[in-house]
Amino acid sequence: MGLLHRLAGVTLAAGLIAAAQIFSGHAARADAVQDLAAAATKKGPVIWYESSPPEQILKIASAFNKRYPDIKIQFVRNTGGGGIAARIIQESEAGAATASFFIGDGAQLIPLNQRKLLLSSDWRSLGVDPTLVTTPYAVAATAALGVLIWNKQRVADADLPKTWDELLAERWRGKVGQWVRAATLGTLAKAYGEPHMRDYTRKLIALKPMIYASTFQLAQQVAAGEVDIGMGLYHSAQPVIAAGAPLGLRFLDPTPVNTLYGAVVAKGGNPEGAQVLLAWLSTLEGAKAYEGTIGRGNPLIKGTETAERVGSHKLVEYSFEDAATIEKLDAELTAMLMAADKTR
Amino acid sequence: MLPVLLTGALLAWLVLVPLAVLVVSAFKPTGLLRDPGFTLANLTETYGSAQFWRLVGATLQFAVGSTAVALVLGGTLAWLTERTDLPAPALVRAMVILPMATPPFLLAISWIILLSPRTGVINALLMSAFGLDAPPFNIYSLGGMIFVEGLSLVPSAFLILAPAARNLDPSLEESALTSGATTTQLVFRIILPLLTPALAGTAIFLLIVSFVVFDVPGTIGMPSRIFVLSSQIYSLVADSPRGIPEYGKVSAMALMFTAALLALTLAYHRLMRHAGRFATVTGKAYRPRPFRLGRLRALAVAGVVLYFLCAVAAPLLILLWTSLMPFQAPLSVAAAKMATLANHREFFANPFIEAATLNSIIVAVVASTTVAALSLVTAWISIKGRAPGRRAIDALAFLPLAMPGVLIATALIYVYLAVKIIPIYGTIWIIAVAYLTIYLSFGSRTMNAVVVQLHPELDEAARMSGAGLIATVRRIIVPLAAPGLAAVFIWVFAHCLRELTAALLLQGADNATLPTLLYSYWSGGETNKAAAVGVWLVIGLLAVVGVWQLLARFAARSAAASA
Repeated sequence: MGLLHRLAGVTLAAGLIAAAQIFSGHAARADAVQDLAAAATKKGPVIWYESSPPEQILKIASAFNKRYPDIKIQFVRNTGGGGIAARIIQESEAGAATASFFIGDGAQLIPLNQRKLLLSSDWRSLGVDPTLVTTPYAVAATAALGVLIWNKQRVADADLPKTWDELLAERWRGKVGQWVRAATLGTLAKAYGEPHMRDYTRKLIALKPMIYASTFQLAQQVAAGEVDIGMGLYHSAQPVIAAGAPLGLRFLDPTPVNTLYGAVVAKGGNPEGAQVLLAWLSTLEGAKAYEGTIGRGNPLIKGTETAERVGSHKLVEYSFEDAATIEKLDAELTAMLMAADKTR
Repeated sequence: MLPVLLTGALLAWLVLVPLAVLVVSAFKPTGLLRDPGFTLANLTETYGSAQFWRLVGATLQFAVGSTAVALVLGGTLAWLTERTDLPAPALVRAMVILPMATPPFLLAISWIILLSPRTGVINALLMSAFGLDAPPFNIYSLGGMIFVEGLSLVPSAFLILAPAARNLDPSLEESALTSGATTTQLVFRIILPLLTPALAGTAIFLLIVSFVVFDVPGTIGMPSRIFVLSSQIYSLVADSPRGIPEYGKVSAMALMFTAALLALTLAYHRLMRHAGRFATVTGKAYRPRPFRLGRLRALAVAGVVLYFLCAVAAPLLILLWTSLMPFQAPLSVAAAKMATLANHREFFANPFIEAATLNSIIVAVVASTTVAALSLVTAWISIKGRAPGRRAIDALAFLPLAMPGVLIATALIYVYLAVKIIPIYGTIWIIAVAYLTIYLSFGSRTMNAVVVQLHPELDEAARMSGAGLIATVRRIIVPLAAPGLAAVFIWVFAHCLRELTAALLLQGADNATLPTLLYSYWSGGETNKAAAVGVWLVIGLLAVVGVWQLLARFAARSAAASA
């Protein structure tokens, strides 16, 4: 009994110590965020560059302000990610006001970091899950997931491809759509190898695909019936499905993933507020607010709809360090897709 | 001499500085000006590529085809409206100008919905009516691109050619007819030669616009992989898989545009060397007399109606249909049951709409007024002036045409980030400056065509009567150039209202415009909401055109009453 009592006492003490450490860790993290938030309120608004419509970003800002009411967000809509990166470079080098926060892929973040324009931070001390912290200057914020989309009125369930290779079947000649950027095709090379995906792209081109400037347009055209099927993105299919269009969506194995990262611009007007914003987007609350508005979620954060939809599917992705590899392959496959062809 | 110097300095600031940015950018490794080092790689890679020259070939086909369509349609409509007994010319004028209200990419979307091979409304109707196995039309073709781009350029051709047609001295036609000339001889030996400056200027303008335009090739060409230089440039900026837009290559490509334009400018100047040959508005009595169409009148009316159907009615109706759908659904009775006003309610409920509308109007008014005034000044200096450097001023006013809007906007970002004593970066004023630069070439070409027809005896007579420069400008030059000025104002105003590329690149926190709002829906896959914005944009511009026509009539009546 005595031994049991001592063991129980030791266990209780250890538990209390551990709990105290966890609590103090949480408290420390909360303090760190609160310190940043306090500093942020003394500065101007957090300027956020993104290509999404302002109505959407303001909804996210509204959710953020419920938690941090004194940190103002000012949104500036900008063209695609490359345009945002170029603008930050131009503004930072000219000493003009620039973004404090933006979301982009590795190809955009790496050159900005090489120019010493991004702020490195101890994200763990701000309570960010270590699995989201890719480098000190980048935190995984959201992801584009490649999925199969099809028109439910034109394609029977029995005819649906079960693998990406089945999308190259002759039956889809002249009926398949493709985004002009070969980002998802390039990512699949991580699973199948680069030679396979070059061959895949050549075969896809032989099917006379319709090429669209964005995956949003691709989803619309599949829903309208101009093409029957295509390799789309999960989030860009959501508005079309929500509108009641006959658009089907399926995850295939492997599912290509292109992670987008949040970053804080060193020369931005309010880097403290930007860190608080990015830390908040890394929480379940923030991730859900972003996902619920933009439609693009973070599969790395449990509890998000995207994580649940992905489920047990095999995800494939080039690592952040491989950004140069995927960038080069993406450029090569995109050039193949864009090579002029008037034979349609 | 002072006005010439001031004008030259202003034009140099507006045009040469961005051009210098463009040239330097072509020799920078990344295209970014402040990056270290210089390179020829952008030039060698661009011009050494076989694909680039294939693109040039496709671009030439597209540009020449679009120009021909616009010139024939616009010229014919201008002649019918201004010089014949076509019924209701004011209404026809409004009908021709109206398509300017539709952004070209919305026009392209409309025709995609009408003529796409699998779901096109017209294709489906024709296949059903005639039992065809295959769709008769495919909008995703070079012919389809030329058709839509040609349609979108007709108002521009019309607005340049209509004042020139209006100002032709009718006594020349009457002399030809009384001398026994046939209608064919009249057209080819009198009318066309007299219109040569206007026709040549219009052709050059349309050719270059078609060369750099992105909207239609990007929307219609991309799905079937028909690329032209502009869509390639846009892709290098917007869709580059590399982290940063490939500005260096874009600038290298743009250098060729500039060189081609310089060649065209030289040709234009040679054409204008003997400008006095074309002066037909003199101090003599001047009374336009409508040409009687006779039996051709019904055919002319049918042609105008067909143009209106293609350029306005059909696209607008399909746009309206699309705006009433929850998603992009083919035209059908079943789909009609889904019709909803939700997209229109969303349009008015958008909290940004009021600010965006106000921004658009302010920018359009400022830019169009400044372009019209500056164009008259540059045209007068370059055509009627004797000061040294007048050709340089004309060339400067024409040069921006060779610079795609995306590059002008990028250059302006650099310029106004560096010149902090002019704090317009991120405001609506930088957009106004961009539009002034972009549309100055149109204004100067139009005013050149008008000014070349004004005989020097008019202002000489005014000065001999004791009028000073300001009185001569106010009482002689401006009233005679008023149709041209009005044409420039309304054209630039409408184009400012629909311009997207530069506005997007120059967008700051509080300078969003209506097209950027439209783009936010379109790029977000919400074609139906974009259609709703397009419908209201068209309605807004219809109101502008209507007011313009009323003011023109009021001014004409006032002038007649005072005479």
